[in-house]
Amino acid sequence: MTTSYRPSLIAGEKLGLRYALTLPQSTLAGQRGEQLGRRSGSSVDFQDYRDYQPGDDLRHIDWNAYARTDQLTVKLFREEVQPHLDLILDTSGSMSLTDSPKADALHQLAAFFATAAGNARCSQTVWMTGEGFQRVANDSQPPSAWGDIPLGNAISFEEAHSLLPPRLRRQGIRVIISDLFWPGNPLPTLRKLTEGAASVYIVQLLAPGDLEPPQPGNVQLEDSETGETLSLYIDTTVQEQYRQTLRRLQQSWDDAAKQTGAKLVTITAENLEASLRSLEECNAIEPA
Amino acid sequence: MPAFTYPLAWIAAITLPTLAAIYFLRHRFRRQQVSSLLLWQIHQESREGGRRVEKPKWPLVFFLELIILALLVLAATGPRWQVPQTTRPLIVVLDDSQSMLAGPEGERPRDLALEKLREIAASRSFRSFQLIAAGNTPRLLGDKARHIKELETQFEKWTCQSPTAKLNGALGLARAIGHQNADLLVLTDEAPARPPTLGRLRWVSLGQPRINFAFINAARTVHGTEDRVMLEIANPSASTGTNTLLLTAGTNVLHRQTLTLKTNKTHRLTLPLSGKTPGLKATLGPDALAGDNQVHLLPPHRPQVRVRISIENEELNQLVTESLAATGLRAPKNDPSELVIHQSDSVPAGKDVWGLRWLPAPKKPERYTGPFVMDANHPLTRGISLPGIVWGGHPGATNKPSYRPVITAGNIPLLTHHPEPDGRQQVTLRYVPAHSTLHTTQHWPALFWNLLDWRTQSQPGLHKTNHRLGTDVPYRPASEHITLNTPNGKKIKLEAPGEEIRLPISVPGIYKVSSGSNTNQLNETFAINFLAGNESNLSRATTGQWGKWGTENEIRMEYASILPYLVLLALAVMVWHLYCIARQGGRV
Repeated sequence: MTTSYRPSLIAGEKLGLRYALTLPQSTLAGQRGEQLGRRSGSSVDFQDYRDYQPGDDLRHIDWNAYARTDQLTVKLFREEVQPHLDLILDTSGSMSLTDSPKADALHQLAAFFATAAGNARCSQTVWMTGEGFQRVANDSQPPSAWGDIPLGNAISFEEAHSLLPPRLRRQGIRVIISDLFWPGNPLPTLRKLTEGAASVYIVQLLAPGDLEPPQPGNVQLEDSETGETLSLYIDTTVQEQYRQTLRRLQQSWDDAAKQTGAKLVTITAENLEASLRSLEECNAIEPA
Repeated sequence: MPAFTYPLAWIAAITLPTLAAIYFLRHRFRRQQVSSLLLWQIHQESREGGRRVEKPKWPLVFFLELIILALLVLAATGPRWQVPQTTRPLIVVLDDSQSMLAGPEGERPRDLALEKLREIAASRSFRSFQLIAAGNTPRLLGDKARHIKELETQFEKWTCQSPTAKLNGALGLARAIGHQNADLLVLTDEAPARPPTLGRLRWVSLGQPRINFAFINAARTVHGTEDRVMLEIANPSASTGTNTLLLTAGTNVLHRQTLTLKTNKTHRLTLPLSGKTPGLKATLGPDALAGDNQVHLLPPHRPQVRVRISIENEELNQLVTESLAATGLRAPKNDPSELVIHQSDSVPAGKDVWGLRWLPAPKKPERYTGPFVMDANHPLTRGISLPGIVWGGHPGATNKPSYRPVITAGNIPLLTHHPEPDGRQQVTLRYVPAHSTLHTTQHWPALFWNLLDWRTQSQPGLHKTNHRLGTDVPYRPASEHITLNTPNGKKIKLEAPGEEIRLPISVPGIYKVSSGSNTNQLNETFAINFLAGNESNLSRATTGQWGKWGTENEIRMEYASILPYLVLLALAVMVWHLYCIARQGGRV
């Protein structure tokens, strides 16, 4: 871990202590834990009756019902599970944009979600892009103990997914943190990410420079991932066209999210704490 | 070209590069990293259809502001444009003397003068251009030209080979041509004697004082059977200088000397030479002016006259014979006679035969002691004076019609001369030696020398072989057709309608002239030397300008102010600028 981002993780961890990840009750699944699952289990909460089948635990036979009906009936209780969070981080070059708080915000947000997941008694896996998706070292530990999250990959989120997709836990909660700047239709990628998930939150993390185009004048734009440059004379018309294009991109992601049941939240890196309200509004988090 | 009332206002032009610098700093390509070019490429594709965007240009408002500033700066200088109706012809008087060639190539007054003329022509409009070269005599270098570029061929005729520059004469010609309406420009290397105050005259001097050694006199004269050479070298510079004199005859070095001369000092060298010595060449080492560093001295002409003496009186005959011998101009042979000295009433017969009729002594001669009246311009009286002499003549003699009195004692003619229609000269002398003292003085042989020399002047060919540049070179051709070969290799064919012509000489060097029939052709060689002390004196050369082409009021009348037009134009561009700014929403 680059030491300069360690404070960001600690700050995110502190921020996350006040919140807990909101768990979707209906579809939750996971290893044995403390949360009620959607399937039958060994909790004390009654779920249903069914006929006895060989192999069923004799302790669950409802003897009162047997006395009344002369049928062996078994009481089913809801299972207790530990929900799981798959935190997927876009660590491509665009997330470490020069002269922007984007990288710090990424680390803070990751630590925030991991801490909030811990508050919700969720286990967690942190994935990062690279030559395919890889896990962050010590990702099951508190964020301050995580290993390095190297930024600046030239491989985009979509390419990394095609190289080696993350092994996502079924019926888990998935949070994707990215600026979503890659070409093409977002729907196919989003379908793969949302497949089998209990809930998916897409957090679009943007720097102020992503939201607002440069001031009018001659500008040589450099792509943070490919290094490609583009010289432009920017005037008010071009600025407005940039904003429209950004809105169109966000709209296409929003449409794709609606189609796949995911929720899209846009957060400004510069003002991260204030942006958390939008996460509350979409029920991604709740006060702990 | 415009004139500027306040040229100092050009300082304000510094605002132009300042504006450019501001725009450059503001509009230069600032590098900015973005997360992805994805959004910008979308912009390109949507607007330009995939066309690659060129590097952005400077905005239009910058150029508009630049134009506004330039117009305002120009307006601040108070520009005035010459009204076409007020243009005048320009007559340029060019100093054609050799001193205009002094100095290294490119820095010679001639080069600077041409540059100055082109500069003036570019800065002001003229109706026409006319060039006059001011040498010994002013001469037009060509026709009027509408444009300065048309004068290039005329510039080549400005050779600067003249030993003097008679600028005042040339200015007179210029004023006559210009009808007091032309602008006059003098391009020379010396200051005017008096700064010009009258007329539309500008005097521009482009000379520079330089060290220069020069031959100022050179002669080769007959001294009996020998020749005598005289060379005079001067240092007319403002400081002491050293140079080397070399005198050669063909490949033989006759004399070599290193000369160190103080300011305005001269060195004279006199050498006796054999009469058979061929042409001499005297040179000086290189200095500011090359033209005066070399002279050629050809063997002098030794003319002789065939004289027949038809005087029976032995004493008189003896006196005449001795007098003729004293001149050194009498040929050993008498025939065919060119001059007959006789006492008869008749005119000597024969073509080209001149006569000196010595009237027989009267019975009672009169002794005249003066006052004597002499025609000082007559060839026979050169170097003669008659103070204190006694002239025994004929009492009561009168002059015949058509006889020109040369020497008279009051109204008594003593020596007269009558030109024949065919060119022959008949001289009549009334002189009684027994009652006179003139023949005992040095003036007597001088009188005969004058007579024979006058006769030689009528002989075909050249009279002298060494001439100064700028002096006349008279030539009596043996036929009507003359061929002149110049030192620069040109062959000039001349026609001689009269008996004597002046050969057209323009540059120093050795010339060859020939005339006569093929069987009896007269071929002669003569030398022209640049011997002009005044022109070699470069200490007076200076640089400066004098005179104007008009008073301030006159110039003001000729130039109209264009300031209002510039201000109006600036306002129009300002409106355009405002429109552009407004259209861009107040952004530049």
